[in-house]
Amino acid sequence: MPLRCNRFYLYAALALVAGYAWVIINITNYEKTKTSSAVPCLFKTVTGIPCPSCGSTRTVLSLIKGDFHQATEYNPVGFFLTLVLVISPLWIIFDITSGRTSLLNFYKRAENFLKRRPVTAVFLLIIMAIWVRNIIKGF
Amino acid sequence: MDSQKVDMFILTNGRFFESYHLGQIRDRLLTMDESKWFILQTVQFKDPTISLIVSLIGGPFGIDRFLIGDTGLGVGKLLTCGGLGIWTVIDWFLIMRATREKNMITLQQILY
Repeated sequence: MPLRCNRFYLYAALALVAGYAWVIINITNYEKTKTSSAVPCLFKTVTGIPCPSCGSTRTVLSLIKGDFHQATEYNPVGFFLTLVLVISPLWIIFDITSGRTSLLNFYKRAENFLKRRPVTAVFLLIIMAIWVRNIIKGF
Repeated sequence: MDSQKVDMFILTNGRFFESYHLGQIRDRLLTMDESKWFILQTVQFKDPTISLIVSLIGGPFGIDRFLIGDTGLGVGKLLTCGGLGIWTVIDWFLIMRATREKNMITLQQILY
């Protein structure tokens, strides 16, 4: 794989490691208090208002516990993140061992898809809706 | 293109690029013909300072990455509370350079 592709995979791998580390750090705390141990959200720390992805850690942790119903109480973004956390390592390993760049290609196609005006508008609406839901629910 | 025009371009737009880009830009512009001059005048580059301000204010939402065209990274930042806060801080330092690199890519599409 040429150098530029390597960088993408390196960053993706690092991001996954950080994601898993975050989940592991929180999992013991979650058993006791049903909340995440620290709030990394800069926005919430400064303004006190939750951001669109607040609560996603708790969703991921609930799914690990197998508590699907509890997971839906929190943030839908967490479902997407769980999918990413599960599928990405497998995909990266597949790409490295077969010498292909299918994940990078998929990422680029997804990015181009999101850049289209109507798609961006729908995406923003969904994010706003989740954000409003977060604020109402008092995350 | 005559060297006066080239120097004028670099004077007015130099801050949009990394310093090591400028030599390459100058050489390429000198060999180009006059017809591209008008296009060069009209192309919009992204201001690294504005990117920095956006990053400081809206960093946790990934707005800085969306601004420079990194939609995928912006979505990632948005969905992870600014990359667990860490990415937000890292981007405060990286965003100006990233903006300049993006500007170079835009310019290269005209130059070549």
